[in-house]
Amino acid sequence: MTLQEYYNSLTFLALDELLKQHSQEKIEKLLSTFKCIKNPDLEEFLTTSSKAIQSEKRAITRTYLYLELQNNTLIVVAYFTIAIKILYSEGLSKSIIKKLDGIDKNREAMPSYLIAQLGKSDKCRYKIGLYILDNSIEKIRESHQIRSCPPN
Amino acid sequence: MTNSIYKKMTLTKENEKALKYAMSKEYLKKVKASDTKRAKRKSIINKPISKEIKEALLAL
Repeated sequence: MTLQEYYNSLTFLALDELLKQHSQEKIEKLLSTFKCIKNPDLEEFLTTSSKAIQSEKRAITRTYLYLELQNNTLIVVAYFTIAIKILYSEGLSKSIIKKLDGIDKNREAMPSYLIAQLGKSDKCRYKIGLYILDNSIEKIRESHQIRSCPPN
Repeated sequence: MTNSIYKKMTLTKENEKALKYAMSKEYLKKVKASDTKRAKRKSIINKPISKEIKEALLAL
């Protein structure tokens, strides 16, 4: 199986949609299948104290999951999380602020998109990082068209 | 990759060089080329959920 074929075989789902259709208990069980020894923060966000679920419910973040059936068990093999973040411009030159903001050289805070989490599980069988990054950009662009936060 | 959702993020003088590059014609040209490559890669974002996955979700 090639990398592209593996990626095509995965299922992409928004956590928000899953929460509408299934109980939180079930979703917590699914999220707990994500394992990442290299980056414990990545694992913790999905699995500990339902951080991802709580942030999703409060509309602070949007998390997207990549699912795979391995030995008849559904597991999360990768995910990314997007949030809207305020960037403060303390210490930047006025010309840079004007370029970033597009209007006001004295702007002290600017909304922007943050890829808060992005990574793959230890159980993910291929290096799909490029595809995850592609999809996160795709989602930011979708959101940008609807919500008008600059994609800085 | 992990970035804090709640921590205050401030752009400082130290970020100016990177910001200038991110807004340069040279970099935007690279972004455009990268967008073209990305468009050629098939995305699964809108792929329908298979029957197997639906069943696996129900069986959780």
